[in-house]
Amino acid sequence: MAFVNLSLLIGGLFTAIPIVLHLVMRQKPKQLTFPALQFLNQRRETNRRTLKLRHWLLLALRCLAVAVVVLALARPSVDSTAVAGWLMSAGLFVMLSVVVVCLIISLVQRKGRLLIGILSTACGLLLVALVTSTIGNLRNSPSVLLGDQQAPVAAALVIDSSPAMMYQFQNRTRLDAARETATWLIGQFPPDSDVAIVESRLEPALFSVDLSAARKAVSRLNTDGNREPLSRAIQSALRLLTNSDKTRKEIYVFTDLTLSSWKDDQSSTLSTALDNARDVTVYVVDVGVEVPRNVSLGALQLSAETLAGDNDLVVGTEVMALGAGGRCAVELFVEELDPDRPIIVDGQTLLPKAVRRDHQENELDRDGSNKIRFQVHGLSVGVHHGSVRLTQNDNLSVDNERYFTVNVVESWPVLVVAPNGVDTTLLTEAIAPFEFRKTNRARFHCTVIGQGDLENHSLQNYAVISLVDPGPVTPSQWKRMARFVERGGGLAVFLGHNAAVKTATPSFNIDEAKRVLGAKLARVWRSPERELFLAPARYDHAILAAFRQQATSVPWDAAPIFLHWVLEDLSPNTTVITALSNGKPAIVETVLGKGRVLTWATPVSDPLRPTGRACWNELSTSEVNWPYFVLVNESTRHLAGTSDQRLNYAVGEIARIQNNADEYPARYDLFPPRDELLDVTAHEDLLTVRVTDRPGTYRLKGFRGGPVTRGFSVNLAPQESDLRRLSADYLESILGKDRYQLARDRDEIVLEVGHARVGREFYPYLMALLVIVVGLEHLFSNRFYRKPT
Amino acid sequence: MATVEKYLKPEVINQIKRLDLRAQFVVKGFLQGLHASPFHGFSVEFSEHRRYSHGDDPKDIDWLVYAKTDKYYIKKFEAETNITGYLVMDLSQSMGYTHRQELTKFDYAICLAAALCYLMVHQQDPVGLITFDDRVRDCLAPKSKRTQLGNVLSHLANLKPTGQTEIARCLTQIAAMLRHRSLIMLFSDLLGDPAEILQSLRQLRHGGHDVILFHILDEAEVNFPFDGLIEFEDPETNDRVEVDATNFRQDYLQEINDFRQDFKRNCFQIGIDYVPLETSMQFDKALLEYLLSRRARC
Repeated sequence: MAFVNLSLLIGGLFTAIPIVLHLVMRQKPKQLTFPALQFLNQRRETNRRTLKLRHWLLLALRCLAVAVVVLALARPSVDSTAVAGWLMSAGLFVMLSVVVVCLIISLVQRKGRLLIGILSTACGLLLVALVTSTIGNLRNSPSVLLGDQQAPVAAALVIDSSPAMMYQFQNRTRLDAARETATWLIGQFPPDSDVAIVESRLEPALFSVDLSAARKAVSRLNTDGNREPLSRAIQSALRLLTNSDKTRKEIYVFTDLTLSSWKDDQSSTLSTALDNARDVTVYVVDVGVEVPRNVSLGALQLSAETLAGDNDLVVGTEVMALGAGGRCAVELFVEELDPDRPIIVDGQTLLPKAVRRDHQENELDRDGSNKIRFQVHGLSVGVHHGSVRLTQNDNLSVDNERYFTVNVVESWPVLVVAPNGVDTTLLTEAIAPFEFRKTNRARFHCTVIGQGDLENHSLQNYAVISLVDPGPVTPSQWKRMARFVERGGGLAVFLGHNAAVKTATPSFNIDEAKRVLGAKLARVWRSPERELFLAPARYDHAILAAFRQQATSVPWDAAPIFLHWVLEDLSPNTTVITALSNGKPAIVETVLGKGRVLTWATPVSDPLRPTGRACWNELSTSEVNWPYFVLVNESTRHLAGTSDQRLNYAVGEIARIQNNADEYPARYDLFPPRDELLDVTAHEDLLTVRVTDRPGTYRLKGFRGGPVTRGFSVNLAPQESDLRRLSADYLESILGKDRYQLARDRDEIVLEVGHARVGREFYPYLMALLVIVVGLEHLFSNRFYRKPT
Repeated sequence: MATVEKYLKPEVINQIKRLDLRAQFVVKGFLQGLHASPFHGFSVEFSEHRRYSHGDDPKDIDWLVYAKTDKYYIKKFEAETNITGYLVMDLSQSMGYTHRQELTKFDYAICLAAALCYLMVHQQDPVGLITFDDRVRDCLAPKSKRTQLGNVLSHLANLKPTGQTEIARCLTQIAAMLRHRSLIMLFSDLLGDPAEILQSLRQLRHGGHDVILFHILDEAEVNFPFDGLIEFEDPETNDRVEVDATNFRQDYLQEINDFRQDFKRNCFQIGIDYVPLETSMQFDKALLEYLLSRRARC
């Protein structure tokens, strides 16, 4: 508890006045002659005791009135969080007073012992409760000096810079509203205050030099897709204030209270940190809109980022409405390939022309969503940028357009090598089906040769070599394939029965072979009971990524494996991608130089009923063989080196673009969206772009015998513009119960800050108590000392 | 008639200074009010019968004689003068108390005594006067002459309520003084020990006397109209008591009521007519009590 006018408490001495008056100026009774005195004497003693009790009661009321006046003028206040505790103490005090008065009356009038006993017990219990409650309140009182509004403060203004803050309402974005309130608030701080403007960035929070610097920092604020969660910014501000030597520490969080700003996994640590720093007062300034209206686009799903052959690009997304509904149109634009653009002419960046390729009308329910799908065909070889956008503007524009970049390449050449007697159709038809080949849509162009021809066949023009159920391989062939892989090629080895020939097996266990395969072929495992199948434990590898959505429902057990090689003694650079249901490795990957080798422990070429031997598996021949098709396609694509070629990133992600020195220039001009030109240089065949804090198309332009244009796209995560409001319970769970004050406008800020700095004042309560006490005094004195008529 | 009856009101009587006139007004006012009352023919004794004739009151027909003779006779009466009355006045200082009226208990008592004296003398009853405070002060022998009225009234007019009182002792003394059966009309506020007073009243009754006890209290003593903190002083003993009158009223009224009820009950038991009076009451109540008592003795 604190007092605004502590010195006025000395006025408490004035409570002596009624006592002195009581003692000195006792009321003189009226003198009357009365002969029938004998009738008075008999009950005089009882009357005298009553009279004395009334005197004391009046005296107590008058002293109490003076004490309440003094207390009210001293303006006691307590921390807002402790008001309930102090009010409870006050309530207990009043109850105790009433019980004490009742007890005295009972004693004076000699009521029954039972009543006196009950009242005494109640009196004792209330006294204990009052003492306990008061001690508890005093212990919980914050150490901060309350009462003085003008003491300098150490304040941190944490300003939410999420893209959702760009929501426009009454011609102002939420960030504008936050800026205005923050600027006004800085003007309210007492001189010599330390003010820090904390954005949701990784940078540590620092105090501004002075208040005007803080104002400037506020005016420079902008939204940022690449930001830290607000809870981390608050923690950063908390650390800064904890080290401050100012006695009063305040954090103001300017936020629109949308889910996008607050939903992260740091909430528990924040509430703990706030709980440990009780001397820091937290104000949440809500600049948001209670009922937002917005139509937004979800994340784009591309059929592939690298398209091979004459495949169509499929772009899927979701149109979502919040607080609104109705018709909305969505368009898809794709830029034309123009090697000369982008180009800067007269200070203006000229971009390739964007052509509208598709258009869809949607009827949205209120708070509903529609999934839409665009199909783009006829994309020529090259890097294509495009976007999906809503045709009409709404209050939040950042989620009205999503960007994409795709790379269209020729079909990847695949060399399929198989010994005589091994049918490669099951593989080639899986990765380049006849129908696709006919329409030039096959992603792979397969060339099938016999294993014997491998020695003399040039490997240079192939992206991937597939060794299907190979027989004995010579060391020189292993070396040749190793070189191929080291230069960036991909090698798939499907081990089968040809390797199990006694004379052949050693050739797979020589050092050169082990270097390529990454494992030793120990023995052939037999499991004729159809109980063995592929059993991926995780789907985090690129070749299994396609199964993630249906991870639990992939019918792996429909394709049993009867025979497989046991791969042992794995090299350090070899990892198991998936195992079999008996725990043995099924597919292992070995990284060699720039390329990779995928070694399968069982072949993909075995027919359903091979002659003269047992069937190794039914991967490709079972009735439910779609997992096989996906797996070999993804494996081949992975080996071709396109699976990890990302062209679409989220805001804040570091973009890494492969840049083969043999094919592309080493230096590029980077044209970020709505920003200045940057210079990017490739290192170790990799272009690294770290500045991806704005959504849009990032264009790379270099020269290697002519202009080379590449690029990538950056998008905001859909949840970044989630405008749904945070519930009070959720906010309480993040910041802690009773740990913050919520304000919506300046008046509420003044009120809440007043409550926290000066504490919750008891002045109104005391004035009410004074009125009651004076009223009681008046009532009693009128009743006790009524003038004789 | 109304103009005469108003003289039964103490506040009107108080304006008449001469005691004989007061008594006259009181009695005349009282008798005027009783002209049609069943007390017609009071204070006369049967003397003879005479034949009924037209114009006689049929009430006077002696039906016993009619039963014997089958003829109407009416009774004739004559005055009877053998009731000796004593007006016994309490002279204690407490009798001189009044709170708001100008008529003190003592004035009221004198007024009443004078009226009774007037009435008795006019009926040719001998009437005497005894005054006492802590002892018997004066004693005027009873006579039925007209001059007795003047003596009694002049004596009464000179009385002053002073000093303390010993009612019980004085009554015992009076009981010893009186030889013949008499009607003793005691005027007192009875502020003393009730047990002793009752004991002395029993002695009076034991002596064969009829007693009418006029218990006169001031209006303030009956109603206790006080409020606030008041220090009361006893005029006789000068004792002081400080009470909160507002709060005390109920207790006091209970006490005074008990006191009067006790006296009433005990007086009834020992055959005394107890007449509780307060100074605001009209005099006719007191006179009526006297006449009732007088009739019972006839």
